[in-house]
Amino acid sequence: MRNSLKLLFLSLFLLMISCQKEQTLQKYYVDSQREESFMHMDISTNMIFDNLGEISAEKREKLKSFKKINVLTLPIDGGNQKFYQEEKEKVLSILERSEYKKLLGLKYSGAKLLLYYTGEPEAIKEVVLMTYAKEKGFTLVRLIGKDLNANLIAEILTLAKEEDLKLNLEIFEDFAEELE
Amino acid sequence: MKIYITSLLALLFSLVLNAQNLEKYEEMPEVDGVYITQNMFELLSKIDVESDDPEEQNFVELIKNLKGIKVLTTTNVEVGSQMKTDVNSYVSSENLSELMRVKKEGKFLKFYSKPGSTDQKVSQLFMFMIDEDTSEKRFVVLSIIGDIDLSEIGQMAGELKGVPGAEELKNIKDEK
Repeated sequence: MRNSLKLLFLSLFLLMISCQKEQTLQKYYVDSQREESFMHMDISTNMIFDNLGEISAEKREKLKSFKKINVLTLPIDGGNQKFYQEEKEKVLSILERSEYKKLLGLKYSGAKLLLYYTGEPEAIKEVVLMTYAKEKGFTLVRLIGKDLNANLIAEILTLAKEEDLKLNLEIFEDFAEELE
Repeated sequence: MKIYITSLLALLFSLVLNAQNLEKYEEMPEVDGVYITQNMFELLSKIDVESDDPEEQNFVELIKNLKGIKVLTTTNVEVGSQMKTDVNSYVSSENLSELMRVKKEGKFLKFYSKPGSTDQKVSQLFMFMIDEDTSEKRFVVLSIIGDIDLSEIGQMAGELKGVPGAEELKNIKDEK
């Protein structure tokens, strides 16, 4: 009996460990919504750009490979320095997993920016941008793709420039206001 | 056998130590930095270039063969002097050979390289610069790893206006 109990605990323990290992950004994002100090923003393709109606259907179809953008911010408000440290470390440790392929790291006067993606160059699942600064807090941006690849990203960026697509600044402004 | 293993360990250990020689600067608050990984170059090389321009195609070829670019800069004189010492020991421990030396307009640059797959290519291009031209003294370390054609990197440098050392890099193909 004792042995089987032991075994049960052991397997529960192992299960816990393996669950922790399975922590993904998606799960982190969902979990963090229960915490008050985080700010969230979900933007769908239709919302990213202001004047989508003005471009051809074919081009609009291309834009749909930017399925949505998730933004998660944890601002430092004086009292939550320790909480910020812990949460930042959590995100960074998730990003250390091999599925997150690091593209770029940038460090400028104390602020850090990290860029990753998941999937393959021909099938990008997610582009992840993590920025943080000691006094300010951190922001995690996830671009979730649908049949997205390197070429499409380049095309969409050029398209946005050529067609003069206007970023829907209002949603960002609202978000910034909430941050204040 | 034992001696062999211990000396091997010592060698490995010193390699690790030497690698960390410069890595420690990445985490220093006084140092700014940019790191571009092979993943990025892989992605960039997948972008279709709708051009028959051989220059552009060369560029894609160059990108494809890059494994990493790292730039570290600081204006903190103390950290910078330490950097200079560490660069010197890094250069000798990594067996980098001097490619060229430039001194002009308050700038002092040294380029180093490691042999690559062919005579025209290097596997690492390394630069250390001290810039006293501006009001603040600036120290810059640049390291490019990959299979690098020096003439192509010179071409690329021509486009990189404002990047430290780019101007000097432009002429590097003549140095080998």
